[in-house]
Amino acid sequence: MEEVASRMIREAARIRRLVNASAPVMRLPTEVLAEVFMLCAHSSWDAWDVTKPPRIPGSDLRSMSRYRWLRLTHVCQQWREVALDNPKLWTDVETADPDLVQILIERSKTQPLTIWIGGMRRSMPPVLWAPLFLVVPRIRTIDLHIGYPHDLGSPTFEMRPRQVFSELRSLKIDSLWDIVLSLPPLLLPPFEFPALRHLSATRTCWFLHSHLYRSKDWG
Amino acid sequence: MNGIGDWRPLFESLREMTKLEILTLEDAYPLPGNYKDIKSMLDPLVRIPLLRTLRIQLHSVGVGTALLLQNLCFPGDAAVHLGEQIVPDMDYRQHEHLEPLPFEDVSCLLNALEARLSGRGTDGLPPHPPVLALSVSWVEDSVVEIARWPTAMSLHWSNEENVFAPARPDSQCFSLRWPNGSPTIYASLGSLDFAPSLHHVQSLFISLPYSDDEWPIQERTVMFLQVFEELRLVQRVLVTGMASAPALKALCCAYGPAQTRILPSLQHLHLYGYRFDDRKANGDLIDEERRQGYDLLKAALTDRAQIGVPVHTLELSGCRGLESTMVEEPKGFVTEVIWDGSGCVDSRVIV
Repeated sequence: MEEVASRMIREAARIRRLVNASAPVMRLPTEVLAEVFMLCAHSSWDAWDVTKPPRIPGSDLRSMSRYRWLRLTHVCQQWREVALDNPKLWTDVETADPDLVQILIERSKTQPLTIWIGGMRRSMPPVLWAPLFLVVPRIRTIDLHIGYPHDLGSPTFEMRPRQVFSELRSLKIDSLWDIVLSLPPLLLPPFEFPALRHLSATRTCWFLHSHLYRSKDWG
Repeated sequence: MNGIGDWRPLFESLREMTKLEILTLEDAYPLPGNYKDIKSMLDPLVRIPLLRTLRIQLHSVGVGTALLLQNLCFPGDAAVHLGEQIVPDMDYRQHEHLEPLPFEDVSCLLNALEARLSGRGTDGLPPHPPVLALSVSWVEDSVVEIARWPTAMSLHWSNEENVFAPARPDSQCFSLRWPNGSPTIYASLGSLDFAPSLHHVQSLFISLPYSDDEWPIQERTVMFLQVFEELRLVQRVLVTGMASAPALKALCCAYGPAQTRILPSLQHLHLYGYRFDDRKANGDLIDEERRQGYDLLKAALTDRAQIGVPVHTLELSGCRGLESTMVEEPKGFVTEVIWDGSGCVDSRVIV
């Protein structure tokens, strides 16, 4: 009985694919469909007035909103394949969920990345940065909103080998707290930004070195 | 350097960012521990050769800002916006209680500003273009905003932006809180070496807060004489509010060894929001008091005509307490009177 039921499910899926394939929208060239997806992915998330946004475990409100367009990839197999074959769709990394970060990095293949990290989470998990450090040369933009004073003072950034953000054009660091009492290690050696065009720091205390802060040798 | 930290990491990071075009720091660097001994600590300076915009916003502009200005080297035509962070939730009374800068901090900041204003510190990079438009305005009792532009521009009131001088990408703007309120501002401003960078200014905008009882008109007049005496090419002046009376006094005041008048090239004088009845705003107006404001204007125009530096065009807009004769009569001293029709207290229609 189980085998019969399984066969019926597969047959039903095949019939649904046939029905979908006969729809006018399916006659759109793949390139056009991919372009439509791009427009959807980069439109204001307010436009996505859906009652059930895709469930992204561990994600904050922003990333859930940001990735509402993912519902497009759940419509049918063809749409999903078009989306997965289009690396530019996956270049905006706007989540603090390490699993999703990993997925986005993989699906964007070699495309330049835009990183937006922040929100009201208590802290950025160190594991979040691990996959990003592996693709440093691909990162074009970093927009960092620090939700916890020690987010940038953690061992995540210390004891690392030389890292050259060779394509980074814009780096913004903004603390949601009154001020972050540590020098953002991301801005110091071994990190280098030879192509940086735009640097913005808000409520971050640049001249304080983290070890000085820890030793309370200030004030 | 002892104290709470070392600035060098910041500057060393910036030194490596040779392609940097925009640098924005908002509340990003409180004071180091022993800042009073710091002048220019880097040799050579940190060169940022492609910088187009430097924006610094702090709760209190002071030595930290001076340090940056003294140690950074960037093109003279870069837009610079330097000012206090306005806390959205803080009401005006709380702003009033913000700590003023100590004088020694002001001195340090003035030195850095002076270098920037006079075009030093570009170290082989494109020099400062001549400043053709200058705005000096007191946005609060103790906050002065200095803005300058390398392009000749007419300053007009913009209802949409609620400003006279719209923000432009080529502007350099410094907004500073001065110690002990406005009575000491003139002394500090007078010590600024405006002259070298401002010889070419053609358009000048001056504004004062509308209420400042502790700052006698005579002191404000002296300040205008000191600050603006070197601006010999200014053709257009726009003066607003409480700045009008001391400005008019200064315009007809014999000054310096040669007993000349300031702004000798002035041709177009625009008074905005001048209250001809200002002295009796809370009581019954009497004609003599209303005439006091007008007499200042008339004295300035006639004096300059007699001394050979006449004003050609008088423009009045947004004024209060005007009588129709006050618009008619100046036509005897100036070539043209432009009036927006506001503020007339009598019923006579002027054509």
